[in-house]
Amino acid sequence: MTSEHAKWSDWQQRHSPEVSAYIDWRLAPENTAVPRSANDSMILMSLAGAGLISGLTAFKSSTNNGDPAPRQIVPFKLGRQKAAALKRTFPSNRTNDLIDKIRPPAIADLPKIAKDSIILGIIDVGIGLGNARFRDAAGESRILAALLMHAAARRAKRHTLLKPEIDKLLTKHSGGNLLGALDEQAFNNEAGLVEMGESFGVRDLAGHFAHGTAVTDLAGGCDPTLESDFAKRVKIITVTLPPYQTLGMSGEYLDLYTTLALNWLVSTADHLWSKAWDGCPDAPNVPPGFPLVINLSLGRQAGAKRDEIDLFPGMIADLRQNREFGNITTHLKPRDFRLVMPAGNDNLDRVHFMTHLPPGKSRAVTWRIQPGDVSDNFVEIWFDQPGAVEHCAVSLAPPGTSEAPSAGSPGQVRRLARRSSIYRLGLPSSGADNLAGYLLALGPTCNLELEPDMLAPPGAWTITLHNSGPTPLRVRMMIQTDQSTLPSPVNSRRSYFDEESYQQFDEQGRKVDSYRFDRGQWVDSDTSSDVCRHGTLIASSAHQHASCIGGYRTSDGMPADYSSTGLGIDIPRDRTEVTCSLPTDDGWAHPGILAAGAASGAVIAVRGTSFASAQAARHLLLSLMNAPTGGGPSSHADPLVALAQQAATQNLKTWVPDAPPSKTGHGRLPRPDPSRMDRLGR
Amino acid sequence: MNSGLQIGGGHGGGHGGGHGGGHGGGHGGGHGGGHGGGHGGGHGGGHSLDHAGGAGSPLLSHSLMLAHEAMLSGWDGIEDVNIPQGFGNRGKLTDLSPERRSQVVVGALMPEFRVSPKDRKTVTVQMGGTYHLSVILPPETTFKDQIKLMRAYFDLRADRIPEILVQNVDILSAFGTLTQLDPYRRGRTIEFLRIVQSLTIAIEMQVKHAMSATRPVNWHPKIQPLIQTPDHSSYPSGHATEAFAIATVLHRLMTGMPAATGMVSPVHPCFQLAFRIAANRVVAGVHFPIDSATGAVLGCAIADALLTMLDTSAAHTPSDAVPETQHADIALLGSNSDFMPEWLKANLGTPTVSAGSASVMAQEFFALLQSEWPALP
Repeated sequence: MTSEHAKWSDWQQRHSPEVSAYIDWRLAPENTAVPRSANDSMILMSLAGAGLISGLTAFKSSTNNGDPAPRQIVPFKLGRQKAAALKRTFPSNRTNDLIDKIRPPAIADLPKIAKDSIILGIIDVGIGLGNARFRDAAGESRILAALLMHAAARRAKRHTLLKPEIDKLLTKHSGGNLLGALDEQAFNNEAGLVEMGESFGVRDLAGHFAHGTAVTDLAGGCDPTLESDFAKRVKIITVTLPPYQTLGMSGEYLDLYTTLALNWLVSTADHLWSKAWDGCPDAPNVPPGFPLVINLSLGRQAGAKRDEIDLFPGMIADLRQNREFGNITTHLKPRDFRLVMPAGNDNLDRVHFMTHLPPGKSRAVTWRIQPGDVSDNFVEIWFDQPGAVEHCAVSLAPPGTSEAPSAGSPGQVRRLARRSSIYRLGLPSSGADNLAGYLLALGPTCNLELEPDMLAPPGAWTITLHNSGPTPLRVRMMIQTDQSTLPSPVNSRRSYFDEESYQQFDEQGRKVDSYRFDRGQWVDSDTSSDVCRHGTLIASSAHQHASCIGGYRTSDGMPADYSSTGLGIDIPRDRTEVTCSLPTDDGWAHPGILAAGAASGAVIAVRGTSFASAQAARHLLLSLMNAPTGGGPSSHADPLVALAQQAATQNLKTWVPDAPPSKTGHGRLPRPDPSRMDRLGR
Repeated sequence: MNSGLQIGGGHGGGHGGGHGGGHGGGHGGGHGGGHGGGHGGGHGGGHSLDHAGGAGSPLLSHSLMLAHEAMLSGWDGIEDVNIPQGFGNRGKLTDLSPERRSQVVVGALMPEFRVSPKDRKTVTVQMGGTYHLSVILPPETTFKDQIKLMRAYFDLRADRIPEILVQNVDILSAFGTLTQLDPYRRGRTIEFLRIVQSLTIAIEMQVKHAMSATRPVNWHPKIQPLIQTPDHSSYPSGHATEAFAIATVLHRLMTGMPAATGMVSPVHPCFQLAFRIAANRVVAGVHFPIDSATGAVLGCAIADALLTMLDTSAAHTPSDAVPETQHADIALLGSNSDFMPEWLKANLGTPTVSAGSASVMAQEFFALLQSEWPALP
């Protein structure tokens, strides 16, 4: 239990209020004595270079004397405001040289590919570059370029692998013959995809399951003898993120890495297009850029969940705008890229709380912190009305104690010894975007190397909110994604909101989903508690700049209960519904769907909306292949919506009808990959 | 009749019970249960199906004795005694049970491998009298440095537990996934691989005992092995030595080539599997990577030497039958180096032993198994 002497400090001004509160929590002098993970130095090293946003590129056509203009790619900076914001959020310690390495490959080094190619970009972990599903009929890699961020962060000499080098390594480890049997372990070792010699190296591919390999398989893997056209036209570029220990135990640095990864993929695809059209006289008359579909099956739960307020969607918008308008001097807009992301798997995890707080009223909620948890726990508090935070006080009380709510000013923090902090988020200048509230941070409840009074006591912590203003407030609280410190996630226990009114199971003992199918119709079952399934879409995809994909069960069409739900009510700039759903379970007794294992030829069952997202990306690729002009998808209408609506006509009669859009989206698409079957023999 | 029944019943019951208990206790555990129960209950109850190639029992012996007495008549031990057919011929290994064959062949091969501790840090394994391979104990700083590598391997624990547990008692089954190893088509091969493993254990245990290297669990309390730490030396790894010896033999049977050839990229699956078995012991927390490395060189050398000594093919002329004596040291894996195929390829030696020099009994057995590999060059 908490020592009786530990008391909350008064609100204090942070020295650098613009620095991410998450980073402040990790680096605050009060917390530096706490070894939050064994690899803080690795994280700091990575952060050292995090200021870098160079390497963004876009098309620029130089017009000289009306001649067919050779396309040139020129680097451009992010919008000044965004770049500055990013640098402030992730401060550059001393040097930018690490991130300077995260640049797209030079045009000259890239392979020249066919002009009707379609590009699939993957951002993930554990992508098996040598997997047979990512090779063509001649044994050559369909992966044209791969960025290994873990290697770049470590200043490794080789952090980008291009197709010629991948093919060379494949040949070397196949007895000198690309079609020979591949010693995949040796290939992975030499390519830097498995690092047994590094304390915190990547090792996913040394196991039997690798997230990124399954995702890449579902999105772009194929048997080139069965799908020769797909193998020929769909080319792949990949970014392997650092291992999640490096991303921070609660994924707080994910936005930085995914933003850089997205920039790299778009720039690399643009460089590939430049190479393909180099010297072609008709180049100025076609929209620049290959059709590009990017799958990102990672994300974090808590955040603004608004289009431009969170860093990540803001960066996507910025990138897209710069490509379209910033540097293009041609009259033709570039083909847009599409980003496909999962809805998330947090639906039943009791991580989302939403309440209406009348003037003068308080509301307390239990934040249940589990024992044996070696990772931090975080809650983010957000509002719907700009400036509402000015009228909301908050407190956090350890189990068995009480604490009166109080309001802080932007950039202020309160601390409870080394165990906990409350950050007031946002900057005074935020204006209409000032929806941010507070970040509540708690240290681990278990660490055998620490004195007990340095640990947060597990149990029922109480968060109290108080509306001191004249108008009702709508408040949302979200528990942040909680990563394990080790590959086997047994030492990271996720906290949850604990309200008696929340119904986990129905009378028959079934898990209660967001909706229940009752006498021929869908009924909202999320009405009894402020702890709700609606609104659990991960913050990384809860915006309009990406498709957001849920999961369903193939046997009867039921939505996957773990698949996160949109808010379902209209809040400006929030995502109220998912785009569509793809299969994530074959049947009730066959959870998951089949996809590539870590090694070539291995097949495993994988489960979760990560894999729904990957299949949706494949649907987009297939529709692009069938598009008469080969044109890219528009940035303003999500083609998956139309595809899902078309698919609805083919839904099986034995299926339940579509659940409401907040859960299922605009319809259920079938599995797009003909070379994989489900385990019920269909 | 009445009298006979009473006597029979008394004998059967008494003998069956006593024998069952004694046998069961002697074997112990699961084996004891089966044996004791079967013998005691079966014979006591009067259902004798054993002997005639199977085990004996007091009841059976008693009944045979009765029959013998009934049939003995007046035979004096002189009448009609002739020299049996085949008397004086050398016994065939195929006449023996697999267990007995193994004892004969291992015993016949053992003198070809003499293990001599030189000092606390060096042990020489003399193969065929002409190849002297020395195992050298690394400095303690090497083991210390390798703990960092072990820590990296621990990340694979959740993935490897089933393999670790099975391979703790059974290495051979994993090799049965690389080619057909069934008792009907490749029964001799299975026997030979077991013989190779037994022989290797007998050699490696002597080396280990002389080295007496401390197990990882003693270096840091956070090693926390997933299985019982064995009582013998960590260095060199027995699992690596045996797995690479088995891999070398199976690779030779499958391809006709020595171990070094199988190490050329892409590494032959026999050796890929041996690497995995060795790595699993590191993941389990009972070995350092350098234990695996030295074990692998030793295992390959034992098997390569053995196969040469068993090779009686015409390709070897008498002139090359007795090579010069050679000495070699097993190179030490670097402190911060992982055990990888490139390292093994660079550090594999070629044992210089006389072709076909092994005991004729061992050669006889080797000839038997070659018929199971008709495609051998």
